[in-house]
Amino acid sequence: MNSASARAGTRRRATAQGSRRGGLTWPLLVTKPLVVGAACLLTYLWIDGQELGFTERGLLNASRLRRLTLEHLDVALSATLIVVATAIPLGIVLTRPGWRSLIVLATIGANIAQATTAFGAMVLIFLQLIESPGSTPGGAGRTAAILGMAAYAFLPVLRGTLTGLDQVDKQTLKAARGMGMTGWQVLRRVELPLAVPIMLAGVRTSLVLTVATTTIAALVGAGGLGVLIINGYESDRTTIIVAGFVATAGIAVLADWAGAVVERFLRPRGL
Amino acid sequence: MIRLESLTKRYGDLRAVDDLTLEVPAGELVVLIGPSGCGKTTTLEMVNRLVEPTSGHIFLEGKDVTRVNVSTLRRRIGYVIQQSGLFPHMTIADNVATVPRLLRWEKQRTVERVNELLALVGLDSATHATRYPRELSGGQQQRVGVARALAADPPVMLMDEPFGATDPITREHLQDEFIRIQSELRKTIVFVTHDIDEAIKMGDRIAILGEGSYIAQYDTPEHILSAPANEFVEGFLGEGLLLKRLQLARVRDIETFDDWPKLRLDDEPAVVQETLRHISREWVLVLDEQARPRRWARTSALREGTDRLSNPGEPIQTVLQDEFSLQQALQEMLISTSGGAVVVDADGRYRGVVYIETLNRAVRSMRADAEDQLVEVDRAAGNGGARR
Repeated sequence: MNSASARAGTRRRATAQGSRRGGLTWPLLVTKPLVVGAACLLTYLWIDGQELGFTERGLLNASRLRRLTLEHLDVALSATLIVVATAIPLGIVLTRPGWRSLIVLATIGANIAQATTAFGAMVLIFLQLIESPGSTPGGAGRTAAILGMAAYAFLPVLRGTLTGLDQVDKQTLKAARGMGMTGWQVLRRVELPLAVPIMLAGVRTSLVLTVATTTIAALVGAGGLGVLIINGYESDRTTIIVAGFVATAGIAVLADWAGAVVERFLRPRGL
Repeated sequence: MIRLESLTKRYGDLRAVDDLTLEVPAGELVVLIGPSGCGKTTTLEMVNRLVEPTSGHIFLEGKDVTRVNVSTLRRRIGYVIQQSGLFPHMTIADNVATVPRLLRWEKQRTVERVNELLALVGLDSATHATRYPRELSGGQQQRVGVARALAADPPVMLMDEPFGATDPITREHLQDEFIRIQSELRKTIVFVTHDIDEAIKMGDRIAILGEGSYIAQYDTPEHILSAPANEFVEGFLGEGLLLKRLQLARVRDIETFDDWPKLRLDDEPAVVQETLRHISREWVLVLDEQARPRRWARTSALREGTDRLSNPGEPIQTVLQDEFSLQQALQEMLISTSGGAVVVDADGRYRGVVYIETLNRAVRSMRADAEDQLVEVDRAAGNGGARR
């Protein structure tokens, strides 16, 4: 074999890899936060330039915005965490021999959860919870919102896990078993690392979905940035609706960005 | 040593492997070959129980391993597959270290072993150990695959078309190198291929399998080529059997004759004249002062003086040495002016000549040998089974 050309090929590949990991991605990585920052600044300047009445001042102030944002993130991140903690193990179990027949069933279930309105599910859960003794409207609202969002965002992570594990090269798995790895070792050392990129893509999709849709949590009294939109609608103040909209879109984009950063660092080298 | 006893694998009604009994002697490389779907890979995978046999037994070094813990068993069996099956997310060093780590070797020992193995398969560990598989060429990946299988020094190896996914030149290279490694390590190997030339080249023995892993013939490449047991084997071996057979035998295996008239450049003129007078052959061999063959000269031309001993003439292109194959000898005879091919010793000195008749005799005796063997096998089996 022509070893000089092989070396050149390797070097080419190595450079391509280097640029994908370094130079090329950095501009992309800083673009999103910059755009979000600019949008927030513009919105702030725009609102600042308006004649603000007593209502706006009461509804749009820094401490209230901070509290709503934290509530929003609390619901969205808790829901994502629950999804990750349940959908990934479920996906792993379903891809083990003997369980595969249940994949269709689980996927249909997750599909239904995503297709039916998360809002409806939320209200139903809320009504169930509020009737149980010792519950407060706020606590029940938060729980209902988190569970509703979790059901809604379950599918992308489940599907990502299933696809990620299924696309691992069968020859590679055969080699792993043939060399004497136990089923658990094959899963931990070979299947999961090789499935990580696709699994993470699922988690990222699910995270963005949750962050963007958690606005409806306001409707069951769980707070969040959806409250601003409702406030604006009820008091007929466009500025407040715009503020709620920009803030929600902003953190959704930032969530996507954070997902991209995590993907970049968790993706195994050599792939 | 590996012994398969009445091994059967059924998938529903389909008998992928049907009552196979086969013994692989220690230190030998046995090739399983047969048409696709004959069950050769299934057979191989039953040895390390990636496929669990429906019935029958597998013995490894005399011990029945049909029911032992499968992971422990596999760690004692090297495994190489097509397209290497390397773990893409692990470096070359980590790939090779797989089994030592499963066996919980000490770190230092593992590192040393990895370096040793990379050197053995012809890879420089300084430049390759920290690379990832996709940064290597197909041939290099395959070498890593072999190194990985050898890591824990298993007595037994299974190789499933290990060089199948490489181009012909690389494949030849890998084969030669593996033959070298195997001649040092003497592992007991089961090797699956669909390439008959690879089987002939690599195998100490070849098992030609028909449907359901039925053994059509199990013998050394020499015997199989000299005397195919039946039409199925013949058809499988394809055209040019004899030429393939000649490829396996060496010049040292046949008789060379020193009866050809020859003259040395430093012979006295009187001796030359005397010799020329007695030569009945049309051609005489001219040797130089060190007795190295130089050219063929026409006897009549030398006698008549139209050619002189010292003329350069047309030098002999190729001479044969002991380790040359008979196929090369045949080729040499076909192009040689005199009809004989010149054989030299390791220093290039004239040793003798081989004739086409010698070759012919050699082939006939190979065939007779092989047939005797077959008759013995038949007698041992108590019927004409192998010769259907």
